[in-house]
Amino acid sequence: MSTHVGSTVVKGSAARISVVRNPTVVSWLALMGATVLSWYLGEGHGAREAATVGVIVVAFFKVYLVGRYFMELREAPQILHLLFAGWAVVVCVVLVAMYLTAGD
Amino acid sequence: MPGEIGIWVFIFGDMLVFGLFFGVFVYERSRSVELFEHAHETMDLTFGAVNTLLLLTGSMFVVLGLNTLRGGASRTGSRMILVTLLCGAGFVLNKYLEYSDKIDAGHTPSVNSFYMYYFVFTGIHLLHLLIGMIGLVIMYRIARKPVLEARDIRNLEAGACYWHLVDLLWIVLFALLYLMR
Amino acid sequence: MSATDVITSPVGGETSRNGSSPARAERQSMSRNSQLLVAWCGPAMVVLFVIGSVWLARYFPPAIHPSDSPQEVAQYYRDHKDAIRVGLVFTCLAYALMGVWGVCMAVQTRRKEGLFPVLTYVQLTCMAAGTAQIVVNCGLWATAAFRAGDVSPEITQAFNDAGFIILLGTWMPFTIWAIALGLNILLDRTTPVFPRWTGYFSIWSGVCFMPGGTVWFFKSGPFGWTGVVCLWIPFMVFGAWVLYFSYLSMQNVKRGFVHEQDLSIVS
Repeated sequence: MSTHVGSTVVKGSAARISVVRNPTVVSWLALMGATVLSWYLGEGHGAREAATVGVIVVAFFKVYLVGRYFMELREAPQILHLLFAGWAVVVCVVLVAMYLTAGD
Repeated sequence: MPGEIGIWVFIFGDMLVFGLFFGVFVYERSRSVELFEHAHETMDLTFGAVNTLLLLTGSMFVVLGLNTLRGGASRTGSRMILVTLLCGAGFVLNKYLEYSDKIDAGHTPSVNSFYMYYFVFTGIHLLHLLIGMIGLVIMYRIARKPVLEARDIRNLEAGACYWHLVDLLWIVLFALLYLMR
Repeated sequence: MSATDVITSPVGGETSRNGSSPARAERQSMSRNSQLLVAWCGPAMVVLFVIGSVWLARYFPPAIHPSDSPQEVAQYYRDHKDAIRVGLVFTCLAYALMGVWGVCMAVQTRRKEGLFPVLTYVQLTCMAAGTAQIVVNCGLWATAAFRAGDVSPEITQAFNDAGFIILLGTWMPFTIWAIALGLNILLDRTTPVFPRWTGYFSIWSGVCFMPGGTVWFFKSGPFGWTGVVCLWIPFMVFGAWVLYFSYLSMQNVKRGFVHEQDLSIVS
């Protein structure tokens, strides 16, 4: 898959089409969108608690996207992928739980 | 496997340590919510958001560059690594402006615990980023070789993965220090 | 794991064993035993540390907090004078063994680094400097215990502070040491002395010693000398680093991997 991209960068319109469909570019767009969304939530929009939980969840979703598409974990041995996703889920859940149980 | 097993030992080790940092921060925050909220109001979200966008863009270019270089040596590939290096430099500049802004306003690490965590965690992260920039310079030099061997590709992948680590740690720091309320 | 592939050198070992004088064989066996001896200093160091610092003197985890008042510190030293001093003897011995263990690492990497072993020298210099530092910090704590109760509490506190500030705050030689060991492994383009991934592990360990530096700036919380970031991360990682590399060195020596590069021929 990656070598396919590499070979198309030579020149011409074929290269440009593949850039638009390129999973790297698509995931970058998703990450930029998610950043803007969490920026919006963090700036004071929405109910305080829901917004913060949203911010944390979006952050770890972004982390997962970085791992899967940028670090190429989708093509890596399953165990790496699982460890990475496991870390994201566990840390996310712990942080949200600690935030929600903070009280007053 | 991207890179080699060793770089993943490093990456997971660092993720473990930073996971602990994140936990410490949210735990301490939950013990003095008011202080943290009050201090958080003095944060400028734009600095953090711009840095996130810079790192994400840099990460994308390093992936595109790497994909290009896998197809054989090319100037495009090395130039994309240079773009990532520029994004990193932009991050450092932005961080410098932010730090001086904070210190001028009297928000130093000794004033309250929010700013203590802010300076220590972003400082340790900045250190990781600077190491990553040294890595990018090495990667740029590898990418300009006329012929790339399997070892070169392995080293490029390892460097790229480290750079993404810097990126993803910042994503969480951004959420915790700038956006959480 | 890849260390097993390394051993194409039973061949080399064989020839040297066959074609060598009895004196040479004797010298090799002596080298083998001394290398094992220094490798065992790693685990020995951990045991002595546990006896001295964890059990007797209670410097780990620290019984005295950075936020304690001078009176509390002086009181603690006065009440536990003997346990602290005996514990410090064990602790200081543990720290001194670090210098011996460092030689073990250097000998391992020296075998392959060539005629001018730059990184091995870096390891040795930093390891010796680090050892000197932490041996001195035991002396400072012993000084605090020496006249605790007789002198004003602030003096006792100052010496106690100084000990922790040296122990954790001077991470630099340790970090450079671990990075030099890591680079020694990673820059080897043939088959490194230790498995390649341990090079990354060593550099990561070096990075993990850095948070100890926060001890200079914070009097409480996770960045003070009782904190999870300042104390626990560097110490746990350092312990794992020492024990794992001790194990790898013992494996190397037991596989007869003692004289892969015979320096008497080269130099």
